[in-house]
Amino acid sequence: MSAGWIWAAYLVTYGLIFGYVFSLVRRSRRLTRRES
Amino acid sequence: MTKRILPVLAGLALVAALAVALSSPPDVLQGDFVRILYIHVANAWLAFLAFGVTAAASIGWLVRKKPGYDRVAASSAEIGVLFTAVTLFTGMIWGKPIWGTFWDWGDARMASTALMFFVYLGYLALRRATPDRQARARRSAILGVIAVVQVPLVYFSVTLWRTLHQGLTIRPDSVQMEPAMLVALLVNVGAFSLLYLALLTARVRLARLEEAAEAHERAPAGRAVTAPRLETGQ
Amino acid sequence: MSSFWRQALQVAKRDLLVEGRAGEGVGIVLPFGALAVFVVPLATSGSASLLADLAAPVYWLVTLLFGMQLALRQTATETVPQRRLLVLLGLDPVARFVGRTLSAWVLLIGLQLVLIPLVVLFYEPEPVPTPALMLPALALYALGLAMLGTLAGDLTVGLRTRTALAPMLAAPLAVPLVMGASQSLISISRGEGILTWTLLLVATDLALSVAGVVTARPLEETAT
Repeated sequence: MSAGWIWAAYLVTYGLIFGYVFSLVRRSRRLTRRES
Repeated sequence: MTKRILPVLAGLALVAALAVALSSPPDVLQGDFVRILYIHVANAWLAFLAFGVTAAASIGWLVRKKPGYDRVAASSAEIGVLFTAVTLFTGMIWGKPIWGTFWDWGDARMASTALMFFVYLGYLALRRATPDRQARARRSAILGVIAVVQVPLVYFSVTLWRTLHQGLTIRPDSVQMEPAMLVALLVNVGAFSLLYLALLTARVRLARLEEAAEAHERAPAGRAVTAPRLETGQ
Repeated sequence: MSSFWRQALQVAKRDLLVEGRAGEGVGIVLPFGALAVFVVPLATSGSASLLADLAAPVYWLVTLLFGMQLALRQTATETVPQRRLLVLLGLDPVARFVGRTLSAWVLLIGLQLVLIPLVVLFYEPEPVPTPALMLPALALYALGLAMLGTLAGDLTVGLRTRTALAPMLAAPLAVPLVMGASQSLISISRGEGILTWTLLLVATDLALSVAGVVTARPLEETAT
């Protein structure tokens, strides 16, 4: 019963973190690609 | 090569934090739900730290006018938004099974954190609205100074308000931590701190790239075409 | 009178004169605030007890949001050439902040006073035993909003999204002010003391004035 909530908490946490990391990677790729 | 060390370390630390959080003993009162608190509390501290860094870097920029300070201030604010969002979401997810409700107005810390979230969003909105780099640095630095003066007051006033209108009894900060749980909390704080540092260095690097690209777009013939500026600084 | 205060009062006088002649305060913001007060009950079931409870929150919300509009009025902004001229004339940036805050304060107190009878009329709240006790809270609340509005206005000079951005920046930082004023009213209606809330208002106003003085010169560089 409690497992569901704990899963949700970790999913949201890592979802947000990975989302941010991917956006950073995407933005830097776009910039470095332009220079070449 | 060295660029990779920090993110790898942070990643390993987060895995360790996850392992410790899941293997630590359940709490007397709230059982397994304490595992959510490890991330919630860690992210809350980091959100405040990130905000502090933004404030300090803002003051640094106003005193020194070096662009590095501005980059750190803005990057830390962006990452602070991330940690604040995690704090708010995990707080709400913790609250539902414990209190029966996602939001409890009696929790001063959650309310203050939500307000701080809005302050951060305002800071980022101000930056987006200012195209000129020098003006953007100055305005956000000034907002940073105003915020660092006001936000403690915001926090204090909400706490004062809460002591009058008592909320529900179990609160994230009222948990009695036995040693094993304290270790789990500290490992999580350490792991997320490393994550903060990794994200900060990456974001500052990106900011430098963005500034270079901007400069390249705006002055294809270099300074020869623009009027001389009264202020120095790249 | 020192030249600092003379300058500050000059700025305040200029603001109020221009506002009187060409302003949007009396003509637009005040009626708009009154309209907002009027419209809210139309969105409710109309129950008398609900409206009586809503009176104070609506009052604080309208004075906050429309007060910000007053503090950010067009007549309180100078164009870039005007700013440069003032700098050349030796206007102390702190005196400018103080003068601008003073004029905003006057207008905000006006707004607050005008809205009281309207709220009483349309919401019929429970009468307060000693309403005069609210005067210091109202004055401090208006002063804090005036400073916050002036700061937010100076921070967003020349930006395209200024009209939405400035109130958005100010609103979360205005929480201690709204808290101090609204909780004072609640305490008075319960017959309790207002010392804590008054101290909160004083502390916030002090913090804002420090912020205003410290940031006056950097903000001047922003506007020119």
